Amino acid sequence: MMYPIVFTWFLSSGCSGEKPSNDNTTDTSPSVEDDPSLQNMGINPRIHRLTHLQWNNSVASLLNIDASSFSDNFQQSTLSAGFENNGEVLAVDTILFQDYQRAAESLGAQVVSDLNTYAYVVSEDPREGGSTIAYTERIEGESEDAIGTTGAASGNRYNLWSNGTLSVEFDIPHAGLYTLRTLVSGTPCDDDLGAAMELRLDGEALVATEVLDPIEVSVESNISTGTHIVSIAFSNDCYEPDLGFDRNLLIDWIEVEGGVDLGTSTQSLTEVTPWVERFVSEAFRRPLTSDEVALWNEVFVDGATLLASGDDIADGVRLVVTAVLQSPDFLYRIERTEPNTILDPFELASKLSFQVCNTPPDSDMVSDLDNGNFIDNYTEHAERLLLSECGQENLLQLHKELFHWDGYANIDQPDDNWDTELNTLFKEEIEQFIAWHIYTENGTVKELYTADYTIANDRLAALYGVESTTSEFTRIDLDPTERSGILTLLGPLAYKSDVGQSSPIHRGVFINDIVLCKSLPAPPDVVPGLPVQDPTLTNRERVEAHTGEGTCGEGCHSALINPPGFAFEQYDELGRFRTEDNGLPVDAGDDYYFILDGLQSWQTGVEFTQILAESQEAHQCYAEHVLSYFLGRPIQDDDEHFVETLYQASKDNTSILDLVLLTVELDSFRYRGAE
Amino acid sequence: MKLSRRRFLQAGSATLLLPFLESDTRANEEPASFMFFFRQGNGVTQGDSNGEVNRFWPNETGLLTPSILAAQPDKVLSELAPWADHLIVPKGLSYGHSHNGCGHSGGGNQCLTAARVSEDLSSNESLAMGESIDGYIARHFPQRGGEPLTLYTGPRNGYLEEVLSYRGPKQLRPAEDDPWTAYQRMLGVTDGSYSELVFERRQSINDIILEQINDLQRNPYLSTADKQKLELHFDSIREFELLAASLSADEEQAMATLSGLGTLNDNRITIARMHLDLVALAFSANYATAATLQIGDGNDGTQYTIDGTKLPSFHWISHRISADGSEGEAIVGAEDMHHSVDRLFAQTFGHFLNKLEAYGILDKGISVWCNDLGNGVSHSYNNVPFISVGSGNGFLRTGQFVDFEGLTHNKLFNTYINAFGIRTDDGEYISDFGDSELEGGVLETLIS
Repeated sequence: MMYPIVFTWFLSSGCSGEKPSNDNTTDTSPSVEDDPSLQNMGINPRIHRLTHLQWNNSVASLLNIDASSFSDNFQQSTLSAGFENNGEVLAVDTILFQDYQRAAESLGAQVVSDLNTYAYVVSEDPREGGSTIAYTERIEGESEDAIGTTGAASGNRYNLWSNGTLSVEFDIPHAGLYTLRTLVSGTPCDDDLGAAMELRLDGEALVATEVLDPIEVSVESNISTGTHIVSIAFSNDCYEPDLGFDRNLLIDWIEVEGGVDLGTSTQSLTEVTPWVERFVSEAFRRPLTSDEVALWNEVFVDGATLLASGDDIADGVRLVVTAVLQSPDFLYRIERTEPNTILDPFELASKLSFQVCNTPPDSDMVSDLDNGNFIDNYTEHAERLLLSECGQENLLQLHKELFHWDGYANIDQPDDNWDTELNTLFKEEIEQFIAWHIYTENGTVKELYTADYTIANDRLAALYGVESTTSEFTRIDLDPTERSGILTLLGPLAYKSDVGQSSPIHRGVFINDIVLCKSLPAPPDVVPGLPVQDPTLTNRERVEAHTGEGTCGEGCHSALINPPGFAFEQYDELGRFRTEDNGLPVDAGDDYYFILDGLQSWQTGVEFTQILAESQEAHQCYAEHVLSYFLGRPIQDDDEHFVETLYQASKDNTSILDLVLLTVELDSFRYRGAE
Repeated sequence: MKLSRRRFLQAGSATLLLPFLESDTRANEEPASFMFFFRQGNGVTQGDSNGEVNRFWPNETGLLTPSILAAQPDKVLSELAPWADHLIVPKGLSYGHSHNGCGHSGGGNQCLTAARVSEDLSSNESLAMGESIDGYIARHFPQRGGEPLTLYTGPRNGYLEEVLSYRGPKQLRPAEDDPWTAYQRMLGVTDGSYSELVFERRQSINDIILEQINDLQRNPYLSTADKQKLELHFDSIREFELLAASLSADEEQAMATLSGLGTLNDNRITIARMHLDLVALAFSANYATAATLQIGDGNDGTQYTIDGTKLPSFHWISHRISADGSEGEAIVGAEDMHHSVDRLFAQTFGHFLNKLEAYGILDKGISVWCNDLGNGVSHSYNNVPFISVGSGNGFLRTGQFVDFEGLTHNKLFNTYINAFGIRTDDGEYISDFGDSELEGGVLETLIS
């Protein structure tokens, strides 16, 4: 989904270092001596595995195939820290290697089993006489080619009169999708059951049913080239001669139909060979060396031997596709550029495209790479990607990982106003709010934490105490004395709540961790849980008694966790605004020591969020999140001055979009520093 | 399939050798790398209230050595004398709960779960009310798939089939009967199309990938973290190749030939050995962390052929009568027959141990020959044998015979689990596997 962009904007200059020259190949980048910042630059991974989304988008671009049925089932990475695109931990282990191999083999077969896909992938090999049905054969049940383990031919059918199978061998000429069919019927026994049958391929049951009246049973299956056995099994024999019953399974015929015949090529193997370099170069996202061209041409020729279908060109195509999809240059984004220089244009294009859009370089970028204009047009490409649909989704993803709205499905409250649909609405609201804030309002970080509106429907509006008459999500104004930005939206508050009550501890930890980037130590091993709710106390009083001054939690809770947590005590477990808790006045006031801004005090949640919005730490923290996400690695000490650049821009009310654009213009993104 | 090319693979700075060249005698601080349960049904000839004498357990508790066991040829466990130094023989372990209408089913329910038996489902339909240890261990190792290998050879559509592996309460895990199917699944081929040509094709592609990785490794600017990622990728390919390379063409052909014929008595032990070959291969290639093989169905009515003689149904033999129930004509020599079946299982288990030794991994894991029952005649749940081989990379103290005199076997499983480095959130030993009403804890005498 694309979000409306109603502003015009341009990059405010803020990047360090000289702008590269027009020539892609002439390196006029600053040397270490010219630009000390290249000495002090965090080290980006040189080997950065594609995320599963990036893999899927790359396959789609290369083969015009939606491979999400594979990537959705790939081994998920177990990330202990950082964003999901953290290149320092994304790796290929045994299970993922098998996932990639399985996908590559299947996709390679699919390319040569579908006329449209083949034409898309191998435009260098136009074909004549292609057909979507390469094979059809029907074997009659009573023929000699049908072998039964029991029973006998009976008229124009085969009678399985006891448990057993009737099997037929089929020689499949082309791997592909086939339909297996059989016409069967059954005779009854003294029960309500038909004859139980299975249609099997190479011993594996594909479909099972019961039959009495004649019926055609069919199923589709991918079948590889070669000899395969299709069999019909009967399994519930019943013989009651005294009652006159004898259940049998009767088989008229067994048929296999399908596959694809690519037709006849109009080219020779040699004439199609240019496809190899073109395809592999596109897959690797860079030009090939002469050695690589020779290698992959050899792979293409080897296809005839290693696949042996009889169609040498198709075999070569299939082998190249299968191998390319498992190659490191496809699975990883690789930086071979030497230290202390701007990235090679092809490497930079891949980085920009994958980090901003999760896609390989598109045709516009490839065109500029080919004609040597990419570096000159770098900013233009960055802007275009950032505003594209994939760029918008990617920027939302950053915020989803910060605010964890995937977890909203787990909210469960014993409140008459709560149901599972509300969780879905919470998620929808925060997604739409962030998208509106970034792309419609061209909003800043400060405004993210102080906005006096949200995007909600009538049900959510009611929880805000605001009137709305539409079930559609629209922009609604909120009471500025009660709400201030994303931290006071319903979803984030409800997510950080206990059952039946708000959770100052969870909310306080979230503020420290995500908004202020302040690392908290792990809780001690044996931490007693909060006491049950006391109707004579406010929630704050209950938490304070358990974790505040004079308790073992004093060190962390009193100073760090509780104050920001108590600031949101004006919002209950569903995020509704309240002035009383258990009939007692809510106290949201407290103070907190900001490392950079000193001690700050407040009386309400709104005051606290506005303090956050002005704080140096919140802006610095947001800058770190953005830098980390788009670099694809955690922040390192040597990133300090780049974080400073983004922080200053954020404090100067640079919009979030401009911050991201600034990020991909930084030397830290475009260069390799000293190593 | 044989590794005709690239016996020695170089990955950057790491030199990788085929597993059978590695030593299996080195104990280290690493956790155990695999857990295997090899199940025999119908109890063993250890004597009982029926007047029979012990023909299974060694004569005395204490140290076990090859010579000590070899000197007791009348005992079944003498068959495992070559591995005595790696052996733990724990007698006196019992199931903690009664069955619910069927001793075999109740025993199978508890064998790997130490859970109580279902109350609402009875007789041969009873189910365990907990997760089995194979799944418990496997899910702690998601990098090896997170699921155990669950294998079976026996008849189908009988009284009682799979009994061992549970995903959770009443969630019996289906087992794979066919070694050929299991092997192809391990190789990522699900349409029955695996062939020599597929193997050659993969080898060819893997050659290219491995060389590309080597080329990347030669970049002098790679960080340590980047090198480790590439080495992991390299090792992953190599380990998976071993799955396809370690079985000979004859072995693969034998599997394919017997595919679909596992229900026949005559193929029982042959198929069992094929399954064992696959399990050993899977462990050597780090394909799986846990596996089970159940030989025979729930009350194993297999007619085993021993020394050319086809015996009566093993279930009948275990009852000592020519019937599945409690009444029937006495089988002459039934005890001797049962004893010979016990030895057959010991020898088959030995086949597996030989495979592990060939791969050099015997002591890296724990392989257990277990049973649903202690004694077949009485369907006793006492003195149920769990004969283990392997120290789990040095965690267990092997070479001993211990009599625990009536402890429940959940404690043994707690001990096994801790061998894998699995601990509580505060770093303590796991001590609560199985039913919560059983006394927890580990068997300290088995821990080195």
